[in-house]
Amino acid sequence: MSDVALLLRQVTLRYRNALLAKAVLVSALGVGIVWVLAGRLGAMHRASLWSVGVPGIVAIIGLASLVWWLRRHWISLRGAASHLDNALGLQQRLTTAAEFARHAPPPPLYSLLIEDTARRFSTERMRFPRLLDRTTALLAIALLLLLGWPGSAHVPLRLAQRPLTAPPTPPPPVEPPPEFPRDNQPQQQQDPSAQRGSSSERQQQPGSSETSQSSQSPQPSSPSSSSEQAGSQRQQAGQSRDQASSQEGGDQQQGGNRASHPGEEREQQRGGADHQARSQERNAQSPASTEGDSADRRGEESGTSQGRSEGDQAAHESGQRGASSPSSSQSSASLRDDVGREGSQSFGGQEAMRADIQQLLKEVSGELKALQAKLAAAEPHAQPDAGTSTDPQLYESPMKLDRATGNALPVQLQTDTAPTKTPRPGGGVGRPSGEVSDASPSVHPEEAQLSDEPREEAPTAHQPVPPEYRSVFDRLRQRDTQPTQARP
Amino acid sequence: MLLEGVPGLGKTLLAKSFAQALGLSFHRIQCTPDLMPADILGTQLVVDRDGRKVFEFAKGPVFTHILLADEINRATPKTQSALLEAMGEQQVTISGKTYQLEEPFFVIATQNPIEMEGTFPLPEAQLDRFLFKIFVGYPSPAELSQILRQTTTAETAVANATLPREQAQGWILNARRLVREVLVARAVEEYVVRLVTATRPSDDGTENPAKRLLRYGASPRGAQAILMGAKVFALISGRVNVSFEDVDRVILPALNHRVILSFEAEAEKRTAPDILTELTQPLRRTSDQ
Repeated sequence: MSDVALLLRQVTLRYRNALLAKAVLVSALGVGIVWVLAGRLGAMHRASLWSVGVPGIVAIIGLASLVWWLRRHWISLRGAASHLDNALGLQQRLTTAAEFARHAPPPPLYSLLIEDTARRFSTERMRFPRLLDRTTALLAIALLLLLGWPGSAHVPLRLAQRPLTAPPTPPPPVEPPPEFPRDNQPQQQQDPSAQRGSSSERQQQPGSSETSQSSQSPQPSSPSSSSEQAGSQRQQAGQSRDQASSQEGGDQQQGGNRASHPGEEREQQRGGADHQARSQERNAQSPASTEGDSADRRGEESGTSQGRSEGDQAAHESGQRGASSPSSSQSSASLRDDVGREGSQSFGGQEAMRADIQQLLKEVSGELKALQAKLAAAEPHAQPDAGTSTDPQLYESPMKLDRATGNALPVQLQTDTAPTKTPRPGGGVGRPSGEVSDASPSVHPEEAQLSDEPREEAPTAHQPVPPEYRSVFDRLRQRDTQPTQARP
Repeated sequence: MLLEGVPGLGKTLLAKSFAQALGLSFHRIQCTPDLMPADILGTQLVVDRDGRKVFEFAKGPVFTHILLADEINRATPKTQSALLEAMGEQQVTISGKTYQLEEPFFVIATQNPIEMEGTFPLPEAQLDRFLFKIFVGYPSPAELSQILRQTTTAETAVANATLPREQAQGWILNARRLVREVLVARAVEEYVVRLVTATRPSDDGTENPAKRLLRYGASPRGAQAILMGAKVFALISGRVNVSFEDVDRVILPALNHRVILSFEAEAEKRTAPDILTELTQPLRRTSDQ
């Protein structure tokens, strides 16, 4: 094998190796991109069409592009010679030498060709496929971007932390009404302030030390503790209402022995308990419970009449409960306290979040109401309701026409001043000028005079009546000539 | 070689200088309508030798190394055809007797494109025997200045012979053999074939640009002319192999006079060089890949 042929083989092998190495690197980067892309789409809980289809399409397109690129740049021995000729400007020296290398015997000028080619050949100027070029750099950047994209990375974590469905919230522990000693009932009736104090003490009893302290503190220290406090205070509010209603129930059970103003005392007690419950709820910034808050809202809007009815019902129910289990009330109360505490602690996070959201909604609604009130106050007159009345400011005040101008509207119509192409003088729109065109026929005005001679009206020539209708016409003529008869 | 140009551009001087530089014999023929073939080839003369009248062949101007036929289109077709055998076969047959022309034999013909009235355009067969057709244009201002300096002064420029007269003939013959030894790669051959094929209007009904512009395309003699010219250019460039660039340099001179324009091309006042450039330019780009 000649030197040139050997040289060509070495160059071809080196070129192919460089090409394959670049293809492997590009393939690895492409596989990495597809893998990361599939992972991202799968972690975002997209449909399978997206999480599988998109990476699949990207992989197919990348593979086809790589195969096409390899086929385009792959060179044979003859192709290597042509590539070198073009790259090094050898003017087909290598191609000719590679072709005539197989001839036996070689042509007379072949040696001169080899000598000339070897003198000009240099692999230093040869450009082989680079491993790191623009394509690989772009792919690497794309892969890094996909790996380090912040948005998609946090989504799966966030989803993992938050449960998909909200766990069912346990009902708040219902504390049985405390047992009141029968001997102390008249004293409690007579002294509402003492009852209030006892009720507050009893409210403090079921709660733990933490919750009692937290219920008295107006500002919670942390969101989690505030949520616990809210839960406990709500329980206490419910308990206070129950206590108030139980007192009423107890009074009702007693059936008598009421003070001079039982209704007033009852109302005072109820109002005090309700007020206390409301204040505790406001301090805790917790949403109202089902019965108590609805009762509070209705009480705020339309007196305490409905609240009284609900309170009576609750009192009746609690009184029945109190009557049914008087002995185990304290133990059950302590058990319920423990359960409630644990529940509040376990569901404190969710409750706190819910409380935050509801508080935010309240604030937003309050701001909206305030804005509406401001708008209403700013407007001099009330806005008409939609579809009910007309906006009084829709139309301007009526405008009086000036009689001097002949009741002419101040609106300038286009047609008043529109140019016309009438050839007749005085023609067109506008006031008549009184001019008579020369083209018009001459008119000689004359006065109308009646003739002295009687004027006999000559019978007009009518169309002859057909014979078959002659009788009808005769009858009609006779009717016309007869004097008209008076109509009934 | 056929040189076409307006009078006064130095076509005759070029041929004469060419012959002087090579150290070869040179004859000039001024073609006129009354020029006879015997005036070019030679004739049989009756001479008195040893008291006997014999026919002796008197050689004509064609028996030289370099023959210049000025305004060949003014000679009659009969006279023009008298050069066909000499140009094609390097021999002359007169009265049944064949006389070989001395090697190297080279014909340079000139043509005046403006005085076509009363002229006899060369037939395609004779045109095809010319290796190249070169359009001689006006000189540039710098060249004109040099021409004036060289031809209007007391010392006129004369071409010096590069080789001694007795060695010129052998050297040129060796050079001719060397040209034929120049190596041509298959890719270059295929390139020449593509170029010549592109000038032929297709007969199978397919549309190609040559079908509209050319009536007849280049013959195989045109491909030979291209390759031979490319080989010479390769040797001139110091190479022993032909490259694509060498082929590109001889395409137009080798095919200018070998294609016949169609009526549509003549109506559009297109010239052969323009059409050949249009047909071969797309092929030239792909040949370098």
